[in-house]
Amino acid sequence: MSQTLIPTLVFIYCSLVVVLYLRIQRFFFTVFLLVSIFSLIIGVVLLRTFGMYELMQTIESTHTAFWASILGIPSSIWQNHLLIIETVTKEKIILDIGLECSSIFEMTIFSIIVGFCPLWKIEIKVAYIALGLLYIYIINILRILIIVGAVAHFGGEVLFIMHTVVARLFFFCMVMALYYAMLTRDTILFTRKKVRAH
Amino acid sequence: MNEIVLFIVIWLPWVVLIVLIDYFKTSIKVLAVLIHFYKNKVRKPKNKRFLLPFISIVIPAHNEEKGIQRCLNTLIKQKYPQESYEIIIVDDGSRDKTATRVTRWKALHNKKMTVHLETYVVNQGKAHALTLGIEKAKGKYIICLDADVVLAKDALLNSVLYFENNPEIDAATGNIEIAWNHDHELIASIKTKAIPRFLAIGQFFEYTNAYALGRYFQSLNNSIFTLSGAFSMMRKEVFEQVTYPNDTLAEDMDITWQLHMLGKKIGYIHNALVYVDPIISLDELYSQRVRWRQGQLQVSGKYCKEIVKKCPIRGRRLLSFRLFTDHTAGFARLLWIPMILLFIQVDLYSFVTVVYAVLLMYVSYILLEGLRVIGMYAISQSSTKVVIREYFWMLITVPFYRFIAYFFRLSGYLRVYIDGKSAWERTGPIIRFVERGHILKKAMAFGIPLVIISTFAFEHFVIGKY
Repeated sequence: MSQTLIPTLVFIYCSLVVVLYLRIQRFFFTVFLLVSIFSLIIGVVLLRTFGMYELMQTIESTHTAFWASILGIPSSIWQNHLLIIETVTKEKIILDIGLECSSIFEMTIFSIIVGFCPLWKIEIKVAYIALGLLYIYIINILRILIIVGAVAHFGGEVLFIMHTVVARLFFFCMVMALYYAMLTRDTILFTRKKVRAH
Repeated sequence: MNEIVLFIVIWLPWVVLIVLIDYFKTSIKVLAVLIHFYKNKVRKPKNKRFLLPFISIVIPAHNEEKGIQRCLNTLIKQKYPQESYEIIIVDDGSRDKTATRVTRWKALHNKKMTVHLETYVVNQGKAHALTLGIEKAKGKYIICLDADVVLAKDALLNSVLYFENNPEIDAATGNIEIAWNHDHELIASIKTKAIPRFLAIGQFFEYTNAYALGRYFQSLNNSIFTLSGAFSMMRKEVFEQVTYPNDTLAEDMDITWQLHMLGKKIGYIHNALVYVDPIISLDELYSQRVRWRQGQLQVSGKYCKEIVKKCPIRGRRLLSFRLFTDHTAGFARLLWIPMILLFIQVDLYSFVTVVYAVLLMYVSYILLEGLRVIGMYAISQSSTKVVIREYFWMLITVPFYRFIAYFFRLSGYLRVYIDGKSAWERTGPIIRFVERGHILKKAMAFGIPLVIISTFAFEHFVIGKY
C-alpha cells in the first residue's frame, strides 16, 4: 500500500502545485482542464486499484440479468461479468459485460465535469452527481437490455449492429440529454439572472 | 488481426456517430443550398423596374484609424449612385485619430455624397453608437457596417436589389468572407509566416462555411442565428420595434433574436460580399471567441423564456439546437479526448489501436471539411474559388484550427461562470504567459521535472507499467 500511496500523494501534490499556480494567475480554463485531466488519471487508477471496475461489471451484469429475467428473457451470470442469455431458438449466447459496457468511464467523466464546473454550489454539485450517476447507471442497464432483447429475439447475428450502433446511439443521446438538462440549462438560467441583474 | 477486429468494433461507433451527426447535417445543408442556388440561377427573378432608393450606412467606430479610411474608400467605389446613399460615422470616444481621418476624408468627398460625423466624447459602446447613427438615418434601408471591413463593388447594389425583389424580408445579413487579396500588406505578411497563415486559412474556411453554407441554409428555414455585426441591413421601419441593446456583448445576435420574436423574416444576401481581415494572433482570436461565447450565453439567457413562448419551433431551434452542439457536446467531449489516451493505461486497448483510432477521427474530420468545401466552391464567386484552389491542401490543418477554436469556445463559456464583468477585449493566454515569463521560468525549472518524475513514479508503482 505504501508503495502506491507515496507516489500517488507526490503526483497529487505536484498536480496541485501546478494547478494552484495557474489558478492564482487566473488561467481559468487551463485550470479546469488540468484539474479534470489529473482527476481523471487519479480516478481511473484509483478505481482500478480498489477493484471498482470488477465491482461495476458485476453489478451491471447482475442487474441486467435480473431485469432481463423479469422481461421474460432467460438469463444467468457466469464468472460475475458474463451474461448468458437464451434466444427464442433455445440457443445460448454469452455477452461479456466489459469495462466499457460497465459505464464506469462515463460516470467518472460526468462526476469530474460537474464536480469542477464552477457553476454550482457544493451541495448542488453533490446532488447532481448523485442523480447523474444513478441516471447513467439506469440508462446503461437499458442499453444492455436493448442488446439482450434484440439478441434473444433475432439471434446472435444482430449483436454487432445492436451493440455498435443502436444501443450506443441510444446511450449517447441519453447521456447528452443529461448534460443538456444539467449543464446547459442551468447555464442559460444562470446567465439570465446575470443579464437581468445588469 | 485481433487488434483490427477490436478496432473496428470499438471505433466504428465513433465513426458512425460522426457520419450520422456531422456528415448527415453537412450533407443536408450542402444539398439544400446547392438545390436552392441552382434553382434560382436557372429561374433568375426579373428585377422590377424601380428607382434605386435612398439608403443610409451607419458605421460605429472606436479606435479605427487603421481601417476606417479603407472602408470609406470602398464605399465611394460602389456601383450604387453616390447621391442615393448617406454615410453616418459615429466616432465612439476614440482615443486615436479616427475622427481626424474621417474629417479629412469627408472634406475630400463631401461634394459627391452625404457624409455625417457624429461624435461621442466618451466611449459609450457599439450599441449606443449604432442607435445614434440609426436615429440620424434618413434612408429607406439602413446598413450597419463595421469600420474595418471592405465591400465588394456591387455589395450595396445587390443588397438593395435583394430587398426590393423580396418585400417579405425585413432584415438580412451579407456574405462575410476573410479578406485574402484585399489588403496586400497584411496578406503578404501572413503568407510567409506559418502560424498567422494557419490561423488565417482556418478562419477563411470557417467563415466561408458559416456564411456561404451556414447562413444560406438558415435563411431557407428562416432561422438565421445572428445578423452579422460586420454587415447587416434592415428596413427603416423595423427599427421602430427593435433596438440595439447595451446589456450584452453580442448586440448583433440580440437584435436578431428580437426580430425573430416579432415574427420578422430574416434573409441572407449571398452576392453582397463583405471582406474582414483575418485575426493572426492566438491572443486576439481568444479574445474574439470568448466575447462571442459570452454574448451567445447572455442573449440565450436573456430571451430563453420569451423566444420559446413567442415562436415555439423557431425559438427552440435557435436556443436548444445551437447550444446543444456548442455547449453541451463541447463539455461532454472535453474529457473523452484524454480518456482515449487512458485506454492504453487501463489495458483496454493497445497504443497502436488508439493511435489508429485518433488518426481515423482526424481523417474523418478532414473529409468532412472537404465535403463542406465542395458545397462552398460550387456557389462561391470566382475570387473565392481562387483562394479555395490555392489553399485546398491546407484543409488538413483546418480540423486542428477548429480544435483550438473549440478550446477557446469552452474557455469563453467558463468565464461566464467565473467573471463578474463582461469585457469587450480579453487578454489572451499566450500574451499572459509571456508577460509572466520570469515567474514561469522559475516555476517550470522546478515544477516540470517534479511532475515528470512523479508521473513516472506514479506509473511505475501504482500502475506497474514501466
